[in-house]
Amino acid sequence: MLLTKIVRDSILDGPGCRYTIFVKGCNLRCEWCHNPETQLLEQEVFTYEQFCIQCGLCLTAIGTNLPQKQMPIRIKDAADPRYFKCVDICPTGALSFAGKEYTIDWLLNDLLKYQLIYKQTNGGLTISGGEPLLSGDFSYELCRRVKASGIHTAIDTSGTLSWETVARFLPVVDLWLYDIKHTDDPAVQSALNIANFKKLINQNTEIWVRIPIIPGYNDNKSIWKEMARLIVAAGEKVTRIDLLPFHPYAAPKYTALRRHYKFGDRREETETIAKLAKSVFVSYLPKERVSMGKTMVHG
Amino acid sequence: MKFGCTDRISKLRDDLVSKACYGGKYEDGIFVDLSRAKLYMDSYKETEGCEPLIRRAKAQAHVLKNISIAILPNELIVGNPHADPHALSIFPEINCNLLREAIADGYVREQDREIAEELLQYWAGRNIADKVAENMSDWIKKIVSASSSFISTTWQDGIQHCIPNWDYVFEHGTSKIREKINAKLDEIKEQIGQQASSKLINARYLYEAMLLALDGLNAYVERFHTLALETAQSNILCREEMLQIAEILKSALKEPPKSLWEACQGFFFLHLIFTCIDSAAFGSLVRIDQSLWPFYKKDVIDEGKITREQAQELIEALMLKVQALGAFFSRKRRLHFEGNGALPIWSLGGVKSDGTDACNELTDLILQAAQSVRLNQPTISFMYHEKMRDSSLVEAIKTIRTGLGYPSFTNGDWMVQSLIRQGIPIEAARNSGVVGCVSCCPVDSCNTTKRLALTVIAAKSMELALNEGNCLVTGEKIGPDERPASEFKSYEDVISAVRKQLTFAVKTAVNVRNLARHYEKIYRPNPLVSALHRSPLETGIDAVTYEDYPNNCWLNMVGVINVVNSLAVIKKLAFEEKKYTLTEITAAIKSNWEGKEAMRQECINKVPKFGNDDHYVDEIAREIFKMCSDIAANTFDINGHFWSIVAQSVSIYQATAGMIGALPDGKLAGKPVADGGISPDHGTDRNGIFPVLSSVSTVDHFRTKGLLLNQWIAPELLEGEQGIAWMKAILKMWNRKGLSQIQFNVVDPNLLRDAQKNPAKYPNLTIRVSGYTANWVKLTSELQEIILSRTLQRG
Repeated sequence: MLLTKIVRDSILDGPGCRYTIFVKGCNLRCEWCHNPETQLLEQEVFTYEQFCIQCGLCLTAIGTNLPQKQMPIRIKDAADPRYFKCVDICPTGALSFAGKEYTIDWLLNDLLKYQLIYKQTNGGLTISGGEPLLSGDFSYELCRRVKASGIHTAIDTSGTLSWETVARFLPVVDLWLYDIKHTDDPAVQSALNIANFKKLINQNTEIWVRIPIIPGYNDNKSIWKEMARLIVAAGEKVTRIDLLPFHPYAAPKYTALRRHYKFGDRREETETIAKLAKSVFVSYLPKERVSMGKTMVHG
Repeated sequence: MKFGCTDRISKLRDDLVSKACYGGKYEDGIFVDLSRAKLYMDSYKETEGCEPLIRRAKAQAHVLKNISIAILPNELIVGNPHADPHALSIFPEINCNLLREAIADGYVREQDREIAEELLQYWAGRNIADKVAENMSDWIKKIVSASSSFISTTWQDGIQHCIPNWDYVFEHGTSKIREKINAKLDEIKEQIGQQASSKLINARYLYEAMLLALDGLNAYVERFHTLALETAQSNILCREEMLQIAEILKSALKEPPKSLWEACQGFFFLHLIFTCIDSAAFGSLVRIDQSLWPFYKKDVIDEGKITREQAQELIEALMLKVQALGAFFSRKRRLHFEGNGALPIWSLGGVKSDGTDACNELTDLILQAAQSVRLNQPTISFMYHEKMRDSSLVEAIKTIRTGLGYPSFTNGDWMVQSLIRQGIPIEAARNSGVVGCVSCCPVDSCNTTKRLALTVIAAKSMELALNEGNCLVTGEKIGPDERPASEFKSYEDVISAVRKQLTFAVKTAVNVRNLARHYEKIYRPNPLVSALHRSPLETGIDAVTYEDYPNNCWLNMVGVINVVNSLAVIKKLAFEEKKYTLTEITAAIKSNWEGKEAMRQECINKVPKFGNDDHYVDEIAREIFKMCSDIAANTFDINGHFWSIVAQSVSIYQATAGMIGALPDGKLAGKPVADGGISPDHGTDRNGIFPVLSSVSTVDHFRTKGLLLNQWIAPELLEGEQGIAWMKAILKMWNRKGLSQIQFNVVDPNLLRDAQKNPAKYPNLTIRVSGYTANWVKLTSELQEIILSRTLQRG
């Protein structure tokens, strides 16, 4: 399975300390997505021009004889497999693969090395992405085996695949980090998202609802109120609501993937909106269950 | 922001005069006061021809009876090395070169120049450094004394680690100790009358010297007592307080302390004398939460004489006094210990000699005091062990969260086993604490008085191995002969060459230390410390000579990780993949990678680096650390005890940057080697803290005296109950893996600013948001500014 990242000491993706993996491949294409490298199922290449030392090795790899100055700008389509050998030869990491192949055995073994910490902190595995349900067999099998080892499992999903796909995970997932991005937007399959949510709350499982707060997209009191009512209806099943304010840190990833990103720094705007959103949600739900996403810098 | 638990503490903190060095310089106004050195010399001039022990005792006493003293406003705990808080002491009797440096660097005042000349003239040939030098060849002298030397030993800096046994002093008081010495002296005189022996005669001189030295100590305390009474007379505003202080000083040290206040005052007097007045000992061992505990328990818990808050004020006052101390350091040391005055360390927690948890209420209170007064000294090492009580551990974690950079954690369970390996009985091994940064030693022994520390820049051995023993920076030959790298046929040949260079460096350093040790025993015995320990009284042997346990010898290896990463490059690229020949690699480092940037990047990015749980390079680390331990274990001190390695870079890794050439791991000439001791090299650990712990655990910590591991963490990770649980879990895993030491630095705006300027140093710094993570260096500067502004807000 192609993963874009493994974070072994996350505290932002579920309770306790989490072993969070990011799978590649998503069924949605949200414009604000902060992990654009996880959207395509296929391998892609990041091009970080600031690390290029113009050594020209990538050109020799594909047998091109262009003036060195033009590198690595010549690589137009970062996902083109013809250029993959350039990545292998690039000494600086200016060209790097967005995903790396991992097996379930390797991941399980790696996670178990640190199981003491996951158990001690009531943490565990979180599969994020991308959309873990899209790589159903992989995600299912990994959750099953981790859970069988006595470790908590969580899945970070938009829940926008068939109910059967979602329901298959019920026996192996302890916690659902369930995204609700909108209440009425076909682009994010709101109808399916909400329908599956309503089914999920009738199952014997725990849910954290995660709501991105995106300026110009869902910054609308009536949307928030509708979301809040959905959550209230879920009762005790939803133990926490994470409001995740828009942040601009994804921009360099878009550039490195040669994609356009339409969001700039909308910090001040976001802060105001996020506060407003929080005030709406806490008018429906207990204050201690509504939390605001944070940014941290780790060594 | 207000510091300190009371207004008094805040005021004292504002008045603090820092003795820390930055960029090799003391702050403005700091100067070297020669009055102590003059008094010491005057006494030695008077006692020509006397026994060395007697001369030393008389000199100690003469200084204590005459050195200038002062009581400063708002003080609860009194005592200063000199009346002027800007003054630093210097010890030309150990090494005259420091005085020469002090003059050259402008720290000796114009009016003191004549005295300085007199001191240099008197001690020439008499100081220990000169005596050691007489025994060295010119070549060795050049290697060890050059300011660019990759070998350094504490004696060169005029430092001798002499500290008393606090518990013994507190239990008896000097009056009782005096009685015991007198009784012993009578006994021995009678024996000498019947059957004289060298041993008995030496013991007699020692006991006489101890009494002379104690006279000096008592006079010193008495002078403060008188001064307090006089101040009470002359200054109505603080009369009440001065009388209280005078009351404390009346019996301080003479009798067992009657209160926590008196114990703190007694502790400080001795700490002051042994770190600033009689010698520049630093990083000395004290289990302060054990030594002061009986008095805290009596005053606060049993009798309720003072409140917990009053006790905290006393501890904070004590910390401030300790922070204010400093002695004059050599140029090299000023760079090696940036930001530090005297480097005092307090050991907290741990176990008692019966193996039970030693944590108590005072442990927690001291940690709270540290959070409140926020000083960089005394630094604290928290001795973690499996059975420790929860509240103390939580308080330690909360202290890290404040961004102080301490406590560091010493693995108490590892410590006991490691000390047993060194031949120390289990009870003593348990009742141990930290000396310097990571090394451990029993509390109840004279060993701490003989801390034998050496530093060798191990990374240099890699450079020398590839260059026929020649230094790449100066071009001079500073290592044993070696054939050209082009003739190495295998990876094993390279390892042997590294071993040869490192062995030479270690043997040279140890030999120099052993020479100094010989002369220290004769010319720097310590009757005052001897009087404040149990064993010298019982055996009649001076504390500097006496050994109750094998010596506390440690060999500090700096930059071992650069050797490890360099060997990985050579193994993989030269011998396995045969991508470059060893000749090409050697040529590249000789030219400081000139025109070879792609190759350098390949060495950095395409070869596994230590700290990522990668078996390939971790195995090399295991092998190289074993090699270092083996070299040390085959090197002996003057009494035949073997040495053990530690790895603690302090700021040595920065200070020595200019003297280390380029290395195969991609390091450029003039850039620092890896920090910490077993920390991954700057920014080469790219998978977070857990894989770092895995890599570090491949090395055998039990055959070392401690390997220092630095980690940067986000303060948010420690927030709230969850943060505490997170850190507890990490420490539990660290403890189970048998690692020796770890310290956490909280990511702060300064680090982020530096990361902005030097992105190559921080490829592992990551930005995290729920469901998102990215490398700091991959963000644009505008985005970095956004994060910085947030971090500053929090700050």
